[in-house]
Amino acid sequence: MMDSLDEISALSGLAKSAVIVGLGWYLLKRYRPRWAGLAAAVLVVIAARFLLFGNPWAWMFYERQLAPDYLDWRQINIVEHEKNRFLDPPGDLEYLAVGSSQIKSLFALYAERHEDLALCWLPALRPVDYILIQDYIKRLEPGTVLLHLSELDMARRQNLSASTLAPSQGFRSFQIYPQLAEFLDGEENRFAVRDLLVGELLPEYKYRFLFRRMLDKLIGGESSESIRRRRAGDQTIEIAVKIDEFRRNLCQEGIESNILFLIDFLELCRQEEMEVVIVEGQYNPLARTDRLQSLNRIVLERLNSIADRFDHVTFIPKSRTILFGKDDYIDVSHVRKRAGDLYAESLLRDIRSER
Amino acid sequence: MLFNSLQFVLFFVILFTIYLRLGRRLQNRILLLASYFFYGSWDWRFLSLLFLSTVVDYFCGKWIHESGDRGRQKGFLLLSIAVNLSALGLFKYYDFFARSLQGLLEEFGVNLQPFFLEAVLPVGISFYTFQSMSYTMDIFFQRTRPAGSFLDFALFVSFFPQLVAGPIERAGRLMPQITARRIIRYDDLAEGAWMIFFGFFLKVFVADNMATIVDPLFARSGIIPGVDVLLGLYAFAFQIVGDFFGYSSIAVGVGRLLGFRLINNFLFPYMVTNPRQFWRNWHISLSTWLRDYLYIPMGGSRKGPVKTYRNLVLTMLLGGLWHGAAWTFVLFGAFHGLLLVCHRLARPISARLAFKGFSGALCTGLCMLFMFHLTCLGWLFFRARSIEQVRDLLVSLTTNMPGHSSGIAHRCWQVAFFAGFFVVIQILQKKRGDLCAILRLPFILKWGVILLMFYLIVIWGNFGGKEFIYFQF
Repeated sequence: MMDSLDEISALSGLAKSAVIVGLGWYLLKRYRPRWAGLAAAVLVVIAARFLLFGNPWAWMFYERQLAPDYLDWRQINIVEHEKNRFLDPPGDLEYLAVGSSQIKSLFALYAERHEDLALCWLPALRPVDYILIQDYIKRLEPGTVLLHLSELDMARRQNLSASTLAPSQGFRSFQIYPQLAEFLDGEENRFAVRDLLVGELLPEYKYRFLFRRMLDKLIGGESSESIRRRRAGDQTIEIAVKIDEFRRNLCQEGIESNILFLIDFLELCRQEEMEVVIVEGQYNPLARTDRLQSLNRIVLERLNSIADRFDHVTFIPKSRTILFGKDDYIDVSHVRKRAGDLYAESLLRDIRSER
Repeated sequence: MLFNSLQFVLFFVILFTIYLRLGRRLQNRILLLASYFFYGSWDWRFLSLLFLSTVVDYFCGKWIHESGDRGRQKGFLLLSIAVNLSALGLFKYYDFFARSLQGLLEEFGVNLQPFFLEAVLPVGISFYTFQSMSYTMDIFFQRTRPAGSFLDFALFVSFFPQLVAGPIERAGRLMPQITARRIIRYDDLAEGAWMIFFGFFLKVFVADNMATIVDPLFARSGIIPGVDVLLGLYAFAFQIVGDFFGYSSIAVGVGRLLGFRLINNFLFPYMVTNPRQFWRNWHISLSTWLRDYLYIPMGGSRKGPVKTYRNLVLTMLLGGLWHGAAWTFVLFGAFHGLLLVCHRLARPISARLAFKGFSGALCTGLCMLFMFHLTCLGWLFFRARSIEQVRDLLVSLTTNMPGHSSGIAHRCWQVAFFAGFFVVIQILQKKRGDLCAILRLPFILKWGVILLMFYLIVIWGNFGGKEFIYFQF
């Protein structure tokens, strides 16, 4: 689904910023306080901020210069989402599938052919990210949000390091960061919350990967080829390695904290008058273990009770969807395009017929 | 509590807000409390060591001053030195010497099993014991008077900006500032803020980024490509200056905001043409300490050339050992001692060359480059993990040059990028003879440089919270 650039509003945004900075500059020149230098520097930073991040052309430039070869992991998607903020949202969007790269593997082909479904995905997206990227979701104004959740998502220990590129939360910070502060266990999470907080004040810090990668490109840093290879490596990690990772990172406490973020998101959807369909996620049967089965039972129970509690939430267990076999997977959680397409067709048909 | 941590920022903001509202006496009390809190945040148990050093030196200083008998004065001075050096020796050097003795005796077939302390080194012990000891020595040599109040002296020993990694202050310089009324002017705030900003830039932009190049190199063992060693040494030269100069700048800046003028521990260490100049620009508070309390009492240069050379080498050997209990530091000290001796020997030749016109900008530039490489060679001893690694790296440098190294061009660019801005700033600072030279630039240029540094910190800064190298000393 292609969105079009809203040039008028982008230009008026830039003009407003120019007026603010110009006014500040004029006042400084007129009154010449002792701290004029510092204030002028702040004004220059603000002006630079509009030029670097406050317009669609800057993001288009970054995308053209860096994506896909010089950006890694979430960075590509973040640049795309930031650019999209300045585009006209598609009107009357019926479904928005929100989730990780698994969502992409399931619905991308369908979304290319149908206008009723769009994707909002980020690699390794977790329930905490639903809250952090809510602006991306709200902008698209979908009728129904489609979530795909399994124990691999819901039982995962909180690791905020992947969320540090989340968009600015503005005044919501006072509500969100105290919540995140509960998960400050471990150095990684502490650094992540620090990065999120600093990123609120300094977008230059949050988006510094853009400038770092540009310099890398300029001075012949890590080649695009090696990044591509590494990224490909991420997706084809052996199942045994993944099972070991699940053993370390999936646990019952993870379910409790993820449920809290999910409930927050569901509340938000209610306020925004968006329906939510939660579909029980699947993964490669070869990765199934007894421990995962027992976590699955807890997750199912919790998701069912959530669906009972919220009127705007529907829960679909995997038994009511097409079940994938091991041959449908290219790794632990990503399915082949064709299998995903069949699944998406069937799922959306079922959802529509139920209504 | 690291200077480059959010905890320190919070700690300082709270302290500074309260501090500005108090009178001098209360300011000193709150600074003392804050300093003990600051030190205790590393390990509260070592506060007792700090306190012991304070109590002993305060009373020894008082007794030296009050006693008219030179013999008794000497006794008190020895007591002060013995207590300080015992603490230092026990925590820092005991295990090293015990292990060295064990190794030596094993060579002769004697199997000795000494008792090892395996104690954690109290952070900053080398700095505050030297500072505290200089107080009693200065009173003994009648360079200063004893502190009027125990609490003021306790603040002198524990003043938090310079407590854990210097600069090592002298009583004659810091005590009058503690006892005098403090007036904090706009210039103090501006220059203090600049020094903190500059120090932060040095730490997170220069030093910690260089560490990502240096650490993998020194983690390797065996013979490696010579070009890797060379680049690693260049990177370490900038890492160590960024790290330690950065810390000292923040210390000076924080002191300045609080109304104190601490000694500048660094000036332009890589823009010098000989080893003597190097030590006048590098870790100035330690080199002057060693000069005043070791080199000169040993006779300095007053007792003929041979004894002068001996004194130079001995002073630098002990200076090397001051850095850490390892043979690599002894080698580092010996290397610099020999450099100083060679420089002294070569002085007549260089004077003759200067007379013949070899003293232009080009000649100075070449000398600087030569001295920079000698300094880098010294850093090899300093940074190596063991004598074996020193040997391997020297062999790599001499026999495996350039050697095949993948990604070397990229790393060269990185070193140039992270060091380049620092070099440009240093050139400007040296030209004006002022570490705050940037603040004296025309308005647009000044704020342009500050903004550029701000963006470099924000975008390329390494915020991994890496400790300062000199904390281990």
